[in-house]
Parts: sequence; C-alpha cells; structure tokens
Amino acid sequence: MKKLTKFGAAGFTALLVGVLALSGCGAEQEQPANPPVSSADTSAPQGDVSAVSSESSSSGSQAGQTVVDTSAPVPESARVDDSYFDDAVFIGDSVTYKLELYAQKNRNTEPNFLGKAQFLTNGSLGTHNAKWEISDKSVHPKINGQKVLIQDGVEQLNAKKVYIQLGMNDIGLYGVDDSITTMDELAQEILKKSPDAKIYIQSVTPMVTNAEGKNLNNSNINIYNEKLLELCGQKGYYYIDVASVMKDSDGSLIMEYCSDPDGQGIHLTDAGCKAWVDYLYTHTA
Amino acid sequence: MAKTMKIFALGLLAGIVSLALMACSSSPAASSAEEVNLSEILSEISSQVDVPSMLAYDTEDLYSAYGIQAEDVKQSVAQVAYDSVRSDEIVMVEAVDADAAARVKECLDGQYQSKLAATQSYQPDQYAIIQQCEVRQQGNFVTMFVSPDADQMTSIFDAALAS
Repeated sequence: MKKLTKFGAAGFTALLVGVLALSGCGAEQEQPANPPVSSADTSAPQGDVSAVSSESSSSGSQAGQTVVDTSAPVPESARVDDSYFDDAVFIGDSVTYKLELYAQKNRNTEPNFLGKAQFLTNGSLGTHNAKWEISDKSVHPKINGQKVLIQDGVEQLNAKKVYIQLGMNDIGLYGVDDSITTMDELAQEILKKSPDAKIYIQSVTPMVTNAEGKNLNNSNINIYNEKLLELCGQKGYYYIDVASVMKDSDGSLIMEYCSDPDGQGIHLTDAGCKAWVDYLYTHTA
Repeated sequence: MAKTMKIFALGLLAGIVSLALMACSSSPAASSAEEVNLSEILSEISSQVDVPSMLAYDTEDLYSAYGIQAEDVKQSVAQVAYDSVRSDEIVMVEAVDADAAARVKECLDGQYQSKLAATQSYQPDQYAIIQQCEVRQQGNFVTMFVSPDADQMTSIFDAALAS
C-alpha cells in the first residue's frame, strides 16, 4: 500500500509538471516576436497594397516606425550609415552604370562607400528589353560574367532594397504609358521572387537642353516621372526623386553634372553622382 | 709526352665546353613574369596612346567583372573607361596554363559579345569601334583591347611578347 501511494504521488506530480509545461509553451506561441514594420509590409506583399494614409516618416526601417506615404516622394530624413545599403541593389542603364563606376572608384579609398550595395546595370537596359529571353544579343546585366534576368539577379544577390532607375531607353521607343506598364511588370516579377524586398523607384534624371529630341526630352521625362509617382502610390513602391536635385532653373540637367553635353546629354559627372548619392543617403524608407 | 699533353688539353677543352653547354641547357627558362610584365606593357600603351580616364580592376575583381577565376590568373591588367559613354576596355591576362587560358578567353569572348549587344542600336559609333576589336589568345596570354587605337595597343603588346 505504501509503495502504491509513493508511485501514485510520483505519477501525479509528473502529470502536474507536464501540464504546467505544456500550458507555458502554448502561451509563448500566441505572441509574435516583432510587429509589422511599414505600410508595404502589412498583410500583403508590397505591390498589392493601396496608397496608405499620410504620416510622418523617419529614416531606416526599424520595427514600430511610422509608415511612409508612397503617393509622395520619400521625404528627407537623417543621413543613414553606409551599412544601410549593405542589402541594396541598384538596377539601371548607362546612367546607373556611371554610378556603379563612381562607387567602385570611391571604394578604393572608402571601402564602405554605399555599404555593400551591388549593381545590375547595362548601358542600354530598359524595362522592355529586360523582359527578353537571355541570349548573346540580349542586354541583361551580369553577375560574375553571366547574364541574368533582373528578378533572378535580385534573388541571387539576396537584395532587400531594390533601387530601380529605368525608362531612358523606353520612353523614346515605346512611349510613356507603355513604359509605366512595363516598369510595374518588372517590379512585380522582382517581388514574386523576392517577396521581402522593398522597391524604390527612382525618377529618371533630366537631360541637357541641346540634346533633347522629339520623343526623348525633358517634358516627356517629367511626364514619365509623374506617372511613376502615381504608380508608386497605387502599388506601395517608394519613390525616390533623385531628379529633383539634378535640375537647373529651366528643368534641364545641371551642366556641371553632365559628362556628355555634346553627345546624348544624359550621363553624369562625378559631381552629378555625388549629388545622387547624397540624396540616397538622406531619403530613406 | 707532347701528344699526351695535346690530348689532355683537347679533352679538357671539350669538357669545359660540355659543361658550359650543360649549364646553359639546364637553366630553367626565365619565368613569363620576368619576360613579359603586363603592367609595363600597360605603361607603354599609356605613353603611346591617348587612353581616356580608366578604372582599374585587380585580379580579384576579374571574377565579378568577367567571371574569370583568380586561380586561373598568373598576372593581369584590366581597365574600363571611367565613363559610361565610352566602351574603351583594356584587358591583358597571363593564365597559369593552356586550359586556364582557354577559360579566360571564353569569359572575355562573352564580355566582347555583351559590349556589341549593348551598343548595336544604342551607341552605333561605339558599336563600330568594338566591331574592329577582338579577343586574342597567344599561348597563355589572352588580351582584349577595345579602343579606337586597338591596333596600336595590339602592336605594342605583340612587340613586348616577341622581345
């Protein structure tokens, strides 16, 4: 009888401890570790959310920060650290390729310049030819010597901040509206493969007046940029208005920022790149 | 006695000559790096040709730029125009062996084709320049000179290799 009592007490104690332990585990799983961060992260992947209500913003993307209104350009904020760009990729054409060269040059003396940001560029890249199949004739950017589709490249680089500046090679050939459609298609393809990425669409920079053509000119660039902003508001992409610091009083590219005023009139000098980079560091979301 | 001395002297002379020939033949061929210094060739090119402002790539950069593995490279010089408009590019690589040279050439062939594709409809003037250039392999050396003065650069390189 004593033995039975002892066993009974031990068994009851073990049962009690087990119940208490299980009830503790269940309570922990009900509470998420981190609340949602920004408007683009709430409930649906970026690209499916509608424009959010206007609230003040701050730099970085720390948990609990207020959301940024994507129907307006990302406002100025405190300058971020170089490390902010560690998980960034810059996608673009020959204008962005100059930024890539500028970054490489600066990293010779400042290894943390633009953090560990990477680049997917090609001189004649656009949102239309980005959709082509990869071939010897295609103009896709490369990773380690191999051409990649942009969305695959973003995924391969594990980029979380995707800065896009494209359109200069699209507006003149395909018109503004069609180019906006293909920009959205590209952003959606990126998000399909990298659902955690944030899309930052940069305005297309202006050109010098004497290089303007019938279809590619500052008027059409401005219209395109306005429609890019609308797209961002509709889809929750962030709009980085780098063009705003590139314009002279006439809305043309500041001559000091132009490296080919007698040529295409769209490419940047180091001074232009500096203005661009300074804008990136002080306009984050 | 005199005959003996003559024979001895001839034998000694033959021995000395043999030793001298053996010494010459047994010395290892001077390493390619001692014979051909790619940095010196670049200096020669820069002194004779009007090269635009360029951004240099180290051997470690060749993989991200072209897909060229560092272990395939004995020495290298690579530069691209620091200008997103010009297509100028100077690449000289001495590979570690023939197989590596073939791999390096394949990578540079890809780069060459990409430059053509990127400029064909976008920058026809640059396309025309690139069309006149080529990727060449000579033994373990692989070169790609993209420049309006590519012929002159090639001549300077060939002269250095020949010497």
